Amino acid sequence: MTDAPNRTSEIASYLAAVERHLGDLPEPIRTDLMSELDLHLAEVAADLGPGMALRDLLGSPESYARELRETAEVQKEPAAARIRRSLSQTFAPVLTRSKTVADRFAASTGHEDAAELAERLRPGWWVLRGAVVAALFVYWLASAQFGVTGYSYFNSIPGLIFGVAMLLLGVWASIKIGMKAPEWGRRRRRVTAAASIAIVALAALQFSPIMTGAFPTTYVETYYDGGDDYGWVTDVHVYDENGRRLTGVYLFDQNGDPLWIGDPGACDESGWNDPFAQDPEVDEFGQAVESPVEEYEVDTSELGYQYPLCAPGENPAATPTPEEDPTATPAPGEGTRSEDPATQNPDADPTSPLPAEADATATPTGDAPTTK
Amino acid sequence: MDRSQLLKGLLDIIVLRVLDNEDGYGYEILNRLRSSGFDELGDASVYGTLRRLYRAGYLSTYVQPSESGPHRKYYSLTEPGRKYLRQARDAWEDVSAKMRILFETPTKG
Repeated sequence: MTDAPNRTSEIASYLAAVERHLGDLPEPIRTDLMSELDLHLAEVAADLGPGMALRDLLGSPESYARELRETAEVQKEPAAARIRRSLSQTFAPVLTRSKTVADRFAASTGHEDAAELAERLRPGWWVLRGAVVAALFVYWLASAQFGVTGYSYFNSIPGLIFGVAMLLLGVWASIKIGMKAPEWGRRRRRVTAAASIAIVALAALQFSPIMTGAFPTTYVETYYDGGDDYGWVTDVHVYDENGRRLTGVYLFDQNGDPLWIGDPGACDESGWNDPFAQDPEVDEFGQAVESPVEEYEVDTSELGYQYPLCAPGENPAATPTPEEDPTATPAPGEGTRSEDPATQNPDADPTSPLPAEADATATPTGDAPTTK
Repeated sequence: MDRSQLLKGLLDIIVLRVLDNEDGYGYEILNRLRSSGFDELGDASVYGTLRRLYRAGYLSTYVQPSESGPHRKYYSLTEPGRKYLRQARDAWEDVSAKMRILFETPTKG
């Protein structure tokens, strides 16, 4: 004969197995069935003969659960319906609360409930939806056409006419859709509503800078600069083979035309070497002279910029480090002076930080060739 | 022939009729049915029917201690249950009469 503890565990085990097979039932029905089943099985077990198990009398838990399900008049729920029911049960409290708040708000505006207020607002929603779609369309079209976000179509008469026409068309189409929607099926109406809300949300995201007063006008790079590798260069520093910096240098191409490399405006005002200023110390042979500027009417604009454009050491960021120096440190006496007439004598360099003799053999530490 | 499917449509009227004379608890009701010849009915079918009729308001319950075992939950008919039983009985007798006539009609050959 089965003793009491074993019978209790047998009932519990049987119950758990039945409950597993009823897992897909709606919660209220499953709870109702299971809440009394333990007592019922205890009644059945009390009448069991010695050596008999619950399974002998009731069959397997699976078949018992199947029979229960059939008599409870509940068909097995499809997975999709089960998920929907689960979601609706989860969000039911939130929805109920939201509806209460909405009804209260609608009542404060003199309407019966939120549904009546929504009905009243529906035409306004259609207009808003149409206007938003039109605005988005015009905005994206302008961005694609002009490569600029935030470009206003309304700066020109044709653009203004186009914008207003799109607005009217969008509003008209939206109203037509809104009036036609009641004839559609539930699914189609839901898809339309979801798409409308998504578009308005997208527009809110797109146009949010307008609301904050910081509407960006951003150029979108759509051109190629032609491969100008020196477009970023603002100055040119020239060194001879001894590592001495040359100043007052002009650059020419193979045709003798000046090379306009660099940006004089990038220098600090205090130390800017005006490339068009007439150099009082240099004559047409590159020799230092003591004559005043007025006596040499050299049009330096024909020679291009005079390098370096900026005074040495003017821009700390441009100060090179020894590691950056591409020129090897020459041994004293190894180097030869450049005889290029365009090259100024370093000795005459008024901006050179070191005396010519020392400079000729010293390793440049602060004036390595670099560009900025 | 498997009569269980046929009986499933009659479970409500069968269980209500058994309880119409005397209140009973789950397993006892099954025994009454078995003694009336409804051997095909399973415990789960009876228990499920009892719970469904209870949820519909046709049955009420009360618990009574038992000398030989655990407490027992008794089911009894409510007034709506009795009314439902009368309607179900009328429907059954109507269908039964028609079925009798149908089967008593001589067949060809």
